[in-house]
Amino acid sequence: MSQPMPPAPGWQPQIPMAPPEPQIPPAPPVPQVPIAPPAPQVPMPQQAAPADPAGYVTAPVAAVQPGPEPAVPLLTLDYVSAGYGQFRALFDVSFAVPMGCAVALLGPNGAGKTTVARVCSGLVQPTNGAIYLGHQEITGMPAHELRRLGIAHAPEGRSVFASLTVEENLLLEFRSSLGKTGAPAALERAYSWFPRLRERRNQIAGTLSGGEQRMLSLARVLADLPRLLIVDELSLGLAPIIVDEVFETLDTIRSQGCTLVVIEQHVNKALELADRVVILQKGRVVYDGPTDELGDLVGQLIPGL
Amino acid sequence: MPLLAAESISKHFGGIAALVGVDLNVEPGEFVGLVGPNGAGKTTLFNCLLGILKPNRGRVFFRGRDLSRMPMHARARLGLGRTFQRLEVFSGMTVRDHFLVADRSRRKKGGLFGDLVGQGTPTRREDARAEAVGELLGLTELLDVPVDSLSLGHARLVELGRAVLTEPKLLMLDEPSSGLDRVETMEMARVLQSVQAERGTAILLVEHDLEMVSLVTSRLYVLEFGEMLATGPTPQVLAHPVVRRAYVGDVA
Amino acid sequence: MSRAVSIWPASADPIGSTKSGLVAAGTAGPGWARGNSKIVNDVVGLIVGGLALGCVYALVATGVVLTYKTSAVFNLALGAQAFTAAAVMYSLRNNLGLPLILSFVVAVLIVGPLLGLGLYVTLFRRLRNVPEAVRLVVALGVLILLPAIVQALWFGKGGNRGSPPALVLEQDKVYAWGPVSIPADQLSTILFTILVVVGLVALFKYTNLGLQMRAVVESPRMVQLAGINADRVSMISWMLSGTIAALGGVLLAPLFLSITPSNYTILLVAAIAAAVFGRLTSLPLTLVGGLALGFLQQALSRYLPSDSVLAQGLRPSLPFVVLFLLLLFWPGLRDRREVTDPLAGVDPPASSIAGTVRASKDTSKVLPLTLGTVVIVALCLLLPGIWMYRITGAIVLSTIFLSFTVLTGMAGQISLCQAAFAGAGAYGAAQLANHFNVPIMVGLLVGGLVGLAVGMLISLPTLGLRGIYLTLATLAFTLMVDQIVFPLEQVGGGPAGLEVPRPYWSGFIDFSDDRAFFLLCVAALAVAALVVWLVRRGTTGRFLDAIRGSETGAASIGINPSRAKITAFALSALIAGVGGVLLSSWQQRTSAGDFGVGNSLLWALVVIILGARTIKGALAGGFLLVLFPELLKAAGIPNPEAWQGVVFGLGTFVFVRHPEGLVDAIGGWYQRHFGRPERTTEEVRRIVTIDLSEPEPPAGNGASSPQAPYTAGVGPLPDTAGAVAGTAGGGSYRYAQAGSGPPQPPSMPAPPSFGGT
Repeated sequence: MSQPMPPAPGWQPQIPMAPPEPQIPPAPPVPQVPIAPPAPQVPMPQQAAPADPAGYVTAPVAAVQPGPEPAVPLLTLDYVSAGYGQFRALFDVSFAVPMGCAVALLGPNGAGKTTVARVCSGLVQPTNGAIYLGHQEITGMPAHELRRLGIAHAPEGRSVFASLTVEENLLLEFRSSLGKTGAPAALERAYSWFPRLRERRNQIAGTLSGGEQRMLSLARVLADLPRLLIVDELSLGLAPIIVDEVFETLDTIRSQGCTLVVIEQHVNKALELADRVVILQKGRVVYDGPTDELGDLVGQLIPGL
Repeated sequence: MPLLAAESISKHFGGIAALVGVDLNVEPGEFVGLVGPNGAGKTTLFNCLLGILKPNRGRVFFRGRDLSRMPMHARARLGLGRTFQRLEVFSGMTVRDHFLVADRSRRKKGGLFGDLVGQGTPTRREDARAEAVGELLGLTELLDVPVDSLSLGHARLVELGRAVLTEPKLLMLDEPSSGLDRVETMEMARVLQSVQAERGTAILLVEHDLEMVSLVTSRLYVLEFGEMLATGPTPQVLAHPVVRRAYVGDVA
Repeated sequence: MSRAVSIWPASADPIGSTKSGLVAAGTAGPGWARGNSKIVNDVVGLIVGGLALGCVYALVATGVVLTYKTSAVFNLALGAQAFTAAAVMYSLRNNLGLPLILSFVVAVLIVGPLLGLGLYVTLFRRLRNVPEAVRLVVALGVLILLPAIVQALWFGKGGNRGSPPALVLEQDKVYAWGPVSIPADQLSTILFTILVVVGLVALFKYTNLGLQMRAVVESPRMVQLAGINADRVSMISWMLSGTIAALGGVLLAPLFLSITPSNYTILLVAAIAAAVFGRLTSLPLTLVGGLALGFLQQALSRYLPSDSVLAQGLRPSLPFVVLFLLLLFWPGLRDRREVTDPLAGVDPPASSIAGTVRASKDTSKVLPLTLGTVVIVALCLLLPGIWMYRITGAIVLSTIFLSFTVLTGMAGQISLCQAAFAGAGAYGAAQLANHFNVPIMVGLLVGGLVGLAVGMLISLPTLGLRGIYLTLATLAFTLMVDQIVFPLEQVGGGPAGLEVPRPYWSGFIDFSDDRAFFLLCVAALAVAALVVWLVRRGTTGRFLDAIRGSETGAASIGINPSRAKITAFALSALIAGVGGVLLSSWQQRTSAGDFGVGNSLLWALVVIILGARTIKGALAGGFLLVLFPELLKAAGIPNPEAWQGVVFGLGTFVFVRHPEGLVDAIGGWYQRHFGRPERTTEEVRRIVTIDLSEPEPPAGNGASSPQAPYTAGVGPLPDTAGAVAGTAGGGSYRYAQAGSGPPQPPSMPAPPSFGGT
């Protein structure tokens, strides 16, 4: 990010109301060195407090209970085991996601990262253990109820309804979370960030290019910012230049109070963004801590880096 | 004569031009890369080259023959191998069976009569050929494992091995590193290099992973907005300022 | 003995009643043409009559489209749902004498949606991740089950207390505007249809629920991620389609004058044709298709001379012909690819009907198996005559069922026209024997070739059709052949049927004795089984496996999918043809209906439920189908044929859990509990993982870099990401074990857990 960003083909400027504060200093030449701000050990709800001009953050953030102890993490996994049919993919996974943080979930293929994401969003039910959202136990709750509690999950791969139009994709999401009255405004917000989507509002989403589909799935979650956003391989199949912008978008929404769980193959990018890192291997947590304490362990824990 | 020759391909969907007068050649035994931003038309070009889409203008020749009206299995018989970005493995079959089927398909075996007189069981030679490819790809230990239980990286290698066993003249690979982690990507790169070196197969690689591209390809095409932005030896192309601005961004 | 295997309990011959029903609807129905000016009234009557019939077709067709659009199930069971509602309505109104409105409310507004909901909750809810073929078989099972239950429980031999009630306040009232006069019942049919179609179009176009329904069909999991209760949406759509089907059923009843399952099969096929006309998505096109079919049928029954052979066959079977032609020529159906669910991997995939059964190289079982077979065959020879006769029948049916093993178990195609192949063979051989004195031994060969020819005839034009459409084409083909071709004097011998001798050739070869014929059938079964076994192990079997796994992938290595599929069809039809000759020779005569649509459906259901993958499954099917009705009869159960349908239909509930087939499922269960432990896939996987697991890190440095060369885990496919990581976990967790120590309490910002020494 040391050089000025050229206009990206296809990827329109993100959230316009992003505070221009330079959160991330110019990237040092060695990418391994974590450059994220010091890990916030304390949740940072105050960062979320100032409502942005469009006023769209207020609803979800206001829903966060202040809680008696400020240190309660937004999401807690407590000895969670899970699997598919006979297969067990996760073994006693425990970690916590502090409020307002970005947590990178790293590990080799098949380590169970996607399963963790699915467990957090309710797509896969744990066979053992418990999950908490703040103080509330959410173990066993179906995905659609968790979405209403503010956990959004942008799954791996194509995550748009290919047979619906762009606008229908957006409306489906907005109507369920904001009701019929709030949906048009959210639609407008989504279009104002991604004008490309407005151009293609009546196009069938399956005919969009890969980058546009990613745009659409981001627009779906962003126009009504959740408390917790889980993104799984958001940059898969995107050109490097667009990957950068995706990460900037994530950084911006984090600064607006949205807690993030990020699964990424671009480990360096994820480390730049994340405050904390959880590394999985073969279904178990092998590292859980602040990014800047990771040091050169990362090279040992994630082969090939 | 180039092995694969595409001459001024144009393709539009409705009013949107996806490709505008694109040329592309692959010489025998060459390792060529094709990169470009999302929506630049890579997939469209790839499908035009394979004859899956019919270009509005221009033609595609493979070994001097027009591909566009040829069904996929006929193209394979002509020596055009390919892998898929979304896996197309034969679920339920072992790795060895994948290789056996490909091998038999190439040798045009498959008659009902042969099966009835008991020629269906794999011979020692067929096994040896399967094992040789298994070794080339580093899949020796996994030969008898059902493909469904392989990791994505291994499954991609199986697809590659399956294509290699049909002894193609040209392999067309659609984002083989997609979904692979670093280790797997580098392993894929190594295997591709040895396939090209040991079997003399030409390879056309569509890929986002620039590290892999710069490692394996000797020549590179860069596509942007449906037009060919640059072509030439890989290092020079990747270093070119225009390419860097359009595609690479700040990542070297 | 000729009706040993019938599924239509009330009317032994489904087609017979069909014909009378439709002819009645066309010519003698209430108020089709009333008036003085003949020509005007002819046309008006034609239009009005066609409109009413077409509306009913269109109504059920919208139900088909609705379930397909919202749950990806091609619901053949809608015909049975319509029948059930009509039967309930008739029982309440005519037999119990309840008021019309009350009967309507119960039959259409209560039974209809509840039936749809019940089917969804008990069966189709779990079928999200199964291949389309499995869903189709389940729907087929329900199509057989529901009418059987209705008839076994209370509807016995159909209603006989007057004609079915029409949905009008005043029976026999006619509304007239100038030359146009419409009987009230037809007017109400038209109005109901308009109401439903307009309502549905509005639902899909303008409401949020409609949007959610369209999304659910693509990926219920993704719909959940949008905060929507996908299960609730599916339930609503099933209740809605159930109501529509019930309404269609109740409206159809007065048009046909009688309520029989076969009438509703015609309704179903006509509705499917209309839905296919709408490409299974467009409701307006579906409406047009249904109306056009109604008009066409009305015009045919009026203007074709009623005594011509063509008219006799064509008139009632018009929907089948239209469906078949639509499937062949209607653009947009070929090479149609369904949108896949990106989150399909979240729910573990079920096993499939077809499967790779690769026999091991272990030959130690061959000898005991052969010896055992010989002993059993010898013991059978000692049985009393009638039982040996029945067992012969079972063996003959098993031979026919091996044709499913090829086509369904290996090629993965569900064909509903195997009985047509068998019938073609049987009639061919019988006609040759009767007219040209060709001995049946030769006839066996000829029968096989005739079957093969018919198989090619159906497989060539349907090559481009995938899955569901191919199955529908075979269904339409069976119905056509059954209605138009087999009843012909020159084919099936007309109403009298044909004498079929036992194989006999001038004293040298004589199988006319039951014992000798039994041995011949055993030999035929053994040869057919050997062929199936060889083909499955051979190149053809492997190519078919590959095509089933991924047709695109197979084509990419030079396998010609069309050729392989034709081969499978041809071989399957050959086996069925030979089996058909044996079946008719076993009964020593054959009549229309032996190879009718009823048997086609029942055979497919029984074989697939028991297991189309294995030879064992075919054997089990043959024996069950012949011996089970005998057991029911022996037990003195009334209406045994209905109960047989109930039992086989209930097999669907087992099938939903074990699509690989009951025989395989029992075998697996036995193996797990009593058998010699065999390496399961998971175990093989684990072994491999252990072999490959990374080298132990040097002692004293728990954090040494894992230099594992690309053995990061015998992980899963992307769909089941992480699925295998657990079982593959024979590898090392040394970092975690060495480092993390006792698990941390959950709610705290955890310190780095790595290297916590």
